[in-house]
Amino acid sequence: MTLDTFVALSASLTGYPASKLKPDLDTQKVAELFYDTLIGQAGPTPLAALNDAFLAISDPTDHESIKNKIFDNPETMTLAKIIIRMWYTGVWYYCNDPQDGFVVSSKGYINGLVWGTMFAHPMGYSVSHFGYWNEAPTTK
Amino acid sequence: MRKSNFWTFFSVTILASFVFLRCTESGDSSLDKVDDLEAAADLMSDLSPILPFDVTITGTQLETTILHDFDLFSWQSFIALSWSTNDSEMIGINGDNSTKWETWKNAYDIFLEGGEKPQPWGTPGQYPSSCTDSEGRLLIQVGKTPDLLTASEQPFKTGPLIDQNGLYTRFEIVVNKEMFNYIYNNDLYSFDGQGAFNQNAEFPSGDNADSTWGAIMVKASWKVIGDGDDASKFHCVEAAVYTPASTNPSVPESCVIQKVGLVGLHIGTKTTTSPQWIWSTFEHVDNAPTFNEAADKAHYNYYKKGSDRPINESPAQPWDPNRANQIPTQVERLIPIDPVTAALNKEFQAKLRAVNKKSVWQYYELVGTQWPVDPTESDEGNPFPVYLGNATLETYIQGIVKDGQVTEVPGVSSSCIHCHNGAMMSGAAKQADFTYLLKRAK
Repeated sequence: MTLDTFVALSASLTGYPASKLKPDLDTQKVAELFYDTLIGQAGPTPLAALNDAFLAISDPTDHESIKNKIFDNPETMTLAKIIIRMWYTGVWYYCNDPQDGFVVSSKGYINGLVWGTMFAHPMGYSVSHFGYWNEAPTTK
Repeated sequence: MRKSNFWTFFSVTILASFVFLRCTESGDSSLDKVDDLEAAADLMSDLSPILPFDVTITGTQLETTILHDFDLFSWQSFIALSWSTNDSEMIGINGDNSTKWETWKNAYDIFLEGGEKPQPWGTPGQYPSSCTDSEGRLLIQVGKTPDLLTASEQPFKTGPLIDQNGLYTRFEIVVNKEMFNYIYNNDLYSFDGQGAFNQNAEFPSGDNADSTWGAIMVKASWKVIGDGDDASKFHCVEAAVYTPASTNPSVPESCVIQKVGLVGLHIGTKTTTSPQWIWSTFEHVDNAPTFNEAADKAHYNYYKKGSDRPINESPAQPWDPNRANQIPTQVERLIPIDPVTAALNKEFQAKLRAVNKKSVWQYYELVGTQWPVDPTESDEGNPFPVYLGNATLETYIQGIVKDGQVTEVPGVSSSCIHCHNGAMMSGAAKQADFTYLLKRAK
């Protein structure tokens, strides 16, 4: 699986556009971090199966195809879920023990999609100004 | 403040004067062979006493061309700030020169005891009564943060920086006229004034379209020139090195006139493109080697070959600047200078050397520039590079070394924008627009 394929696959799996996951002006390089983790942790067989299944989908924005070809396929379902969890939480969960895993890195953790999705920030790290919590919440 | 068309005329005049000067004096400058203005202009391009208003972005690639644009802005700022107060005197033409930024308003002349109104722009600074000589530069801080000796809490792991001669490094912060006037006109120099202001600070922004300068602040670090130091390689000033009295630890007040050399310089510039400010940081080239790279210089200001002392370790307390024979800080740079930046350093150092082979300014290098890549993305604006530190100003927060590798810790390791994003006023629960200076108001 190439980096570009990984980013396209990740966009289909997470719901975030590729331009968000790997921006043109990319200060954090989170996609590369998670891609390297995937290559290092996923076995070659599940990785090849997921790669082939995704490339066989003509329209990666077609949710029904993603569901049928990836999530209903026992050869690709687990790894796809692990990738989603990695993007959202910064944690890599083991294929053979989905309850166990490790934090990929501090960078991966603070850049997890879960924080922005719920308008929050990771414990101990915020990019908002001091005292923002005293202001009315924003929805944008 | 507007830039006038004067500069076009001025640049030609200064160039002609400079070439005339170089051609009539004896010496081995490479400019001795320059026989026309065009060649001289090329050699000295980007050497201007005029501060850039804002960055001009021409590139499209973050880590190469855009980085180069911001680094160029940094170097142009450094050159203009380090230029003589006499614009017609080419920077470094006499080796060293007084600088423009040293005429700016010092923080200790703005935030006075009791919230007293400071003297207006252009008024000479005040000296403590224990300083008998009030002619030279006054250096009053012994740490990057004020009250280092007496403060019970610090915003992060910090401490004094001790050079190879066992002497404390000294620090200062100055602001330009635009920044000072904003503080002065809005009474932000006092606790009560900030309370009455009761809104977020918003300093003026430099703008290319309007040809206006915005707020600029400069933080400088100086070392006392002593044994092993080659004064001809430093920008030097005679300074009143002042140590305030402290009871715990017990430190007597003192004020000593000493020759000090510039070792570090932060330039923070607020601009329209970068409302989170552009953060440029420079160092003397002999400060410290980079971690895991060869320490191939005979002398470093803050590093000793063969020493078994731990690197970037803050000195043990109690801290007393006046104690003799203190253990030097063993410093290494943990955030390497980017290759794009290093290449630009060579270009500018060559330009400065071309003016005068003995120019002290050729011995300074840009460590890096941090700016907000997407200013509206969040309060921080997605800074790049993520981490940036000056070995003399962020010595102890550059990162951690574990198993022979440098690790940066989000929220802890040095990032100008991330840190300054938390700056608040002291007299109101309002944002201070990326400067901790307003926290000094009493």
